[in-house]
Amino acid sequence: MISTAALLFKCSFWLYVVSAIAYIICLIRNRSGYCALGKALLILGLCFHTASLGIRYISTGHPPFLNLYEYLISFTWAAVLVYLVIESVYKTRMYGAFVIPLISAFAMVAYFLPSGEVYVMPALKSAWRIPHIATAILAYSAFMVAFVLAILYLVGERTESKADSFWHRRLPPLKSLDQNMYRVMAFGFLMQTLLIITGAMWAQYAWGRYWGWDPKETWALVTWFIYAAYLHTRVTMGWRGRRSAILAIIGFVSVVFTLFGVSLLLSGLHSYA
Amino acid sequence: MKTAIVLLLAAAGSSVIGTLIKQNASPQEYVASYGRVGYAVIRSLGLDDVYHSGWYLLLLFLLAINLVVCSIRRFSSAWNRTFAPKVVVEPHEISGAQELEKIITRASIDEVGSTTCSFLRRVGYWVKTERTKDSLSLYAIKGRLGIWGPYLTHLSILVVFVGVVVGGFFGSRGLVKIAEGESIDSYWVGSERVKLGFTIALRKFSILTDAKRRPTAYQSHVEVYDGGRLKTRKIIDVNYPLVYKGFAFYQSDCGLEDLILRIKSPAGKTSDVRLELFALRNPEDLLKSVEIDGKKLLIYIHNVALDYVGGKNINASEMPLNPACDILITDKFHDGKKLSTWTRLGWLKVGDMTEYNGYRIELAKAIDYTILEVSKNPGLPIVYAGFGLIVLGVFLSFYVRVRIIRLHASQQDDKTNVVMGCNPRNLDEAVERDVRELCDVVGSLDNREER
Repeated sequence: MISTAALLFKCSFWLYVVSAIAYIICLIRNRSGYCALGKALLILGLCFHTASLGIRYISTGHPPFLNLYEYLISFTWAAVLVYLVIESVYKTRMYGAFVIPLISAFAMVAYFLPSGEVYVMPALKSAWRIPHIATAILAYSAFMVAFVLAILYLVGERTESKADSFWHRRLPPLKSLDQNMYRVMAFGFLMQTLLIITGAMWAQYAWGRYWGWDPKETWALVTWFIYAAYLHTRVTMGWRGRRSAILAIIGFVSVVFTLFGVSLLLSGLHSYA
Repeated sequence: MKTAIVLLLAAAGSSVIGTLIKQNASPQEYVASYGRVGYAVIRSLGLDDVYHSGWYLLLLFLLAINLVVCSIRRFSSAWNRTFAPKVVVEPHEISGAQELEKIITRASIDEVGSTTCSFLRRVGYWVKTERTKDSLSLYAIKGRLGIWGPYLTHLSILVVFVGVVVGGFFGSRGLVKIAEGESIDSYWVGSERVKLGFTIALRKFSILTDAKRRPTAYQSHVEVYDGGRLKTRKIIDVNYPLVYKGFAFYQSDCGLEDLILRIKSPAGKTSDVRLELFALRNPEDLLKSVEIDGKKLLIYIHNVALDYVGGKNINASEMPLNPACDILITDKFHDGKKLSTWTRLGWLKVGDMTEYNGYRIELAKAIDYTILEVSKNPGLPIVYAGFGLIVLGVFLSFYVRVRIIRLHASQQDDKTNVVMGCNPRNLDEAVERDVRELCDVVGSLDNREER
C-alpha cells in the first residue's frame, strides 16, 4: 500500500517536471497553448499526488505530517493547490514558469528520501500536530510564492525602461507584483505566528516548557524576525519595491534553512522532522 | 523606528549564532572544535550559552523598551484617529488626498451633510461632523479596530515578556523519581528538595509497544493524595501531563528499579528477595542472602537485561520493556568464595521459573520507576494570553482595513462646493468605490430637485 503511494508520488513528480517545462516554453515562446498543456499536466499530477496522499493516510492511519518526507509530499501538494488557485484568481499563467520548477525541486528532495512507514514516537502523538504542521505548510507555501514574486520584481525592475524587452512584455506591472507580494507575505506572517505559537503550546504539553531555544524553534523565530522587519520597513518607513523584495528573498532563505538546514545539519529535539 | 529594525535584525543574527555553536557543551568539546583561543573567545562573549548571556537578554530588553516607547509615541495619534479625530480641515488639505472628487450642487450644506451622513452610516462608517456658519467638515472611518492591530501586537509581545519574567521569578522546574508502589511529596530542583504540599503515588508504570516492539506510549498511572484523601487518578503520558494545584508533571524518563525473586523451599515455604538495581552502588550489593526453612541461600546477580529478546539479542532496547536477569545461586553458604559451588540459573524473564536443589525459583515481578519533570509556572497563563493577543493583533493589522473618508462642504453664492477624498495611506479598491458612490449620492441631490 505504502509503496503504491510512493510510486504514485513519483509519477506526479515527473508530471510536475514536464508541466514545468511546458510552462517555461510557454513563457519563452509566449504561446498560451503550452501553458494550457502545463496546467493540464499539473492537474493530472495533482490527481496522482492526491491519490498518493490518500492511500498513505489510509494505510499508515495518520496524516502524512511526520517526517521530512511526509512533510514535503504534503507541502508540495498544498503548494500546487495554492498555485492553481492563484492562477485562476489573478488570471496570469506566467508565474507557473517559476513556481512549478520550484515546487518540482522540493518534490525532488522528497523523491530521494526514504518513503517507508514512519514510526510514530510518543512525543509526536498529540492533537497539536495537525494545526502545527498545517500552519507550517501554509506559511511556507506563502513565503515561497512571495519569494517568486520578489525575484520577478527584481527582474522586472531591471527591464522596466525597455518597453519591448522580453520580460517587460510578459511580467505583470511592478506595482501589482509589489502589492501581491505584500498580501501573500502578510498571510504568511500570520501563519508563521500561529506556527510558532502552536509549536510553543505543544512543547509545553510534551516537554513542560513552551520555549527551549531548540534550533528549529530558534530558526522559526529568526524567520519571524526577518518578516517582521519587512513589515516594519514597509509600513513605517515606506520601503517598497526592490528593498522589500530583497528582504522577502532573505526571509525565504531562512525558511529553507529552517526546513532542511536545521534537520540535516544541526541537532535538536526536532531531529525527527 | 530604525532602531527597532536594527534590534530585530540583531536579535535574528545573534539567535542564529546560538544554533551554529553548540550550547552548554563541555569546555573539552569547545577546545576540540575551536581550539584554545576559540574557546576563550566563545567563553568571554558568552557564546556557549547565548540565550542566557547578558548581552542577549539586554538585546531583548532593549527591544521591549523600544516597543514601549514606540507605542507611547504613536498612541495619541491612534487614539485621535479612532475617537477624537480632527474633523475640520480646509478643502486644500483634502485635495492632497487621493481619489479626490469635487462637486458643485444646488442642495444646501445641511442637505449635503444629512445625506452623506446617512449614506456613510448605512455602509458601516463611523461619522463625525463639524458645522461652522458657512461650511461643514466630515470625517468618516471604517475598520477602526484595524488601527489598533499593531498596538495589540506590540502590547501582546510585552505581555509574553511579562509572563516569561513572572515564570522566571516565581516558577520552578525540577525532577522526581517514583518507583511503582511508592509515593513522593517533594521534588528536586538541582540538589535542593522542594515540598509539593501533596502526595503522588505511582501505582503502575507501563510501556506500550507496536508490532515491531517500538514504544508507542510511556504511561505512569498515578494517584494524587491531598490531606490524606485521594483527589484524582491520572495516566501521565508523553503529551499528556498531570496538572494539580499549579504544578504540572510530565513524563520524562523511566527505568528498572528492582526485580523480585520468589523462592519456594521443598517444604513449600515462600520467600521474596528484592534485587535492588537502581540503588546498586557497590559490587557487594550484587550479593544477596536469604534464609528459608532454616537454610541459607546465596544469590549473585550476574547480569541484568532491560529488554531480553531470545538468546542472542539481549538488550534490544534501553527501556525496561522485557526485563530479565541471569543469576548464580548456591546453598553451600560457607564455600561461597569457591566458584565451583555456584550454579548458574540462566536467563529468567518475569514469570519464568526454574529449579535448584528442590527450590523453585521464579522471577516474580519487575518494579519500574518513572521520572517525572515537575514544573510550576505561574507565568504560563500570561504567556498564553500574550499568544492569543498576538494572533488577534496580527489578524487585525492585516485583515481589518482602515478606511477614512473626509468631506468638506462650503457655501458659494446659492450653491454648495463639495470636496471629498480618502486617506492615501489606506488606499484600496473598497474605499475608492465608497468615495465614488458617495459622489453619486451627493450628485443625485440635484436630480431630485429638478424632478
